[in-house]
Amino acid sequence: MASGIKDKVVILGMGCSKFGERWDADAQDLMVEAFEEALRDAGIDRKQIDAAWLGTAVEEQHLGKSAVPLAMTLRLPYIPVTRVENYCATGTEALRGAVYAVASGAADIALALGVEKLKDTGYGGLPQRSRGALNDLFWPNLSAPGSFAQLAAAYRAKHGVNKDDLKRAMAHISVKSHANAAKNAKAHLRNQITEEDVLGAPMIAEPLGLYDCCGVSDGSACAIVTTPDIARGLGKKDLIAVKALQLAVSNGEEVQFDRWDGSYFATTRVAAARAYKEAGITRPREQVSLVDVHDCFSVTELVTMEDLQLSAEGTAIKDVLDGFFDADGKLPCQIDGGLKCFGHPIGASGLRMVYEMYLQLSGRAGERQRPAPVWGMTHNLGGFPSQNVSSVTIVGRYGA
Amino acid sequence: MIKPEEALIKPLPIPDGDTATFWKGLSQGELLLQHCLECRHVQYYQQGMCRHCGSVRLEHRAASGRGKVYSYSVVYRAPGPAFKNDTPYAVLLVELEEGPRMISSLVGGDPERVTFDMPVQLVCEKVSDVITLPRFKPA
Repeated sequence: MASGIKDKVVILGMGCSKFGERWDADAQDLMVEAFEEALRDAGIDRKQIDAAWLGTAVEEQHLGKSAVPLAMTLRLPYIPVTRVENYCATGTEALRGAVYAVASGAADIALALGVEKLKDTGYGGLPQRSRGALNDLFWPNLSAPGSFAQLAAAYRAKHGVNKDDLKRAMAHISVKSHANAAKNAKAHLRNQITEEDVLGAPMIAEPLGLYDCCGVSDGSACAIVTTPDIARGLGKKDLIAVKALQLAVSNGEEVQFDRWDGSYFATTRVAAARAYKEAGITRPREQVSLVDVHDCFSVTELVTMEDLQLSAEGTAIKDVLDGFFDADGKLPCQIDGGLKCFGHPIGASGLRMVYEMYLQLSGRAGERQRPAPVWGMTHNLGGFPSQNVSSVTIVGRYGA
Repeated sequence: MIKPEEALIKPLPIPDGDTATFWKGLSQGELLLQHCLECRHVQYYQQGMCRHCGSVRLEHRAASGRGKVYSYSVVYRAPGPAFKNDTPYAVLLVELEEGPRMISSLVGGDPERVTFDMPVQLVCEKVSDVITLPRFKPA
């Protein structure tokens, strides 16, 4: 394996807008809101930024294509600006661009900003996108909840799990995320809910009910990254470094060979294994302090715990019900509310997750602060269980 | 992203070089699968070469139309306005008698009574002059 990204790049500053139904703000306002916080945090002038990446998934929603909207909104000084899109891993993809630019020496200071304005489409859920000719053969009118519902069915079949037991674990996941978001002023959905609320909610795609599905939100998040030396030169102490950044993308084997049983994410398993190797983590369940995963649906979070090797195969239900991933558990998952309740403005989500890890590692997470976290991990999953983009990012104290 | 007015219309497949024969077969009541003349692998969906051995010696043969439900989900909330009146509907992953699995949807049965391994039979549903969709009914 290549030498990897560990400790080559540190976070100089981060920012995140309030997520939610932001009728008061357009995409540009949201970008400015996140950027101003990051700039203040970094303690630099925007003219010190050498290169920038914009992550936005649904391009025609307010912004249009290309990187021009970011350069114009922030009045960046004629620097290279690139727009990226990679399904729900778009925000992480933007961060990857900025981090690798700094690691290569092409830029001293780089910006990654993700934004999405999803609440103005005229109907609920995600906007439908064009799918490509080939996809017609394996993608007929399956909604996003519908495809992830099959994950639940396949998981049950593989591990011989009773329907009610799985549904109860899924309910626990959503109740936990709502409780966490109640302590987060920037989160979209801050109401507390009960297991009864989840079990009694309208069905979206069996077994996924209303509370098994994440929020669709407006929001923006961003990171300014640099080298450890430059950060120290700017007077920064207690640096938070990128320890691993991995991406794995489906190549068609899941759908084309009929071998994949539908109960797990082949991509996430590969990305996680590579990320642990890059960061030097050998016992993830014991070593990882905090994790924010791509909980587009409660069952996605459950299955992902196993794909990330945080629960042994077939044991995630027990871990969830034991409170292992609760805010006061051994390994809190979605301490900021997750996609479920912080919300899911697609292009911003990957950066929003890293933002929470950065706050936690810097001891600035307020009411949500966990004692002395060492490793913070984030995970994105874009697409469908059968074909997707999965990313794993690990951050931690520089040199540790 | 599609426009709101487009969201009111159900999307239809666009036949291309790989798939034109497949769609023509359906319009004549046949579900065509690609059989590899080198390694005997049977594949769905259509591509230029065998996904098992890479051979381009592929032949279309009609499937029996019989299969069983490998997996399914029942959609209660439509992905867009075009499918609103169809809910609840069952999306099926059908394991065909010949081996390949294909995604489709249920017609002429109660979506809430679909179960794993349920036997199903092909139904060719004509939706335009060019396109006939492969769907399945309880066998």
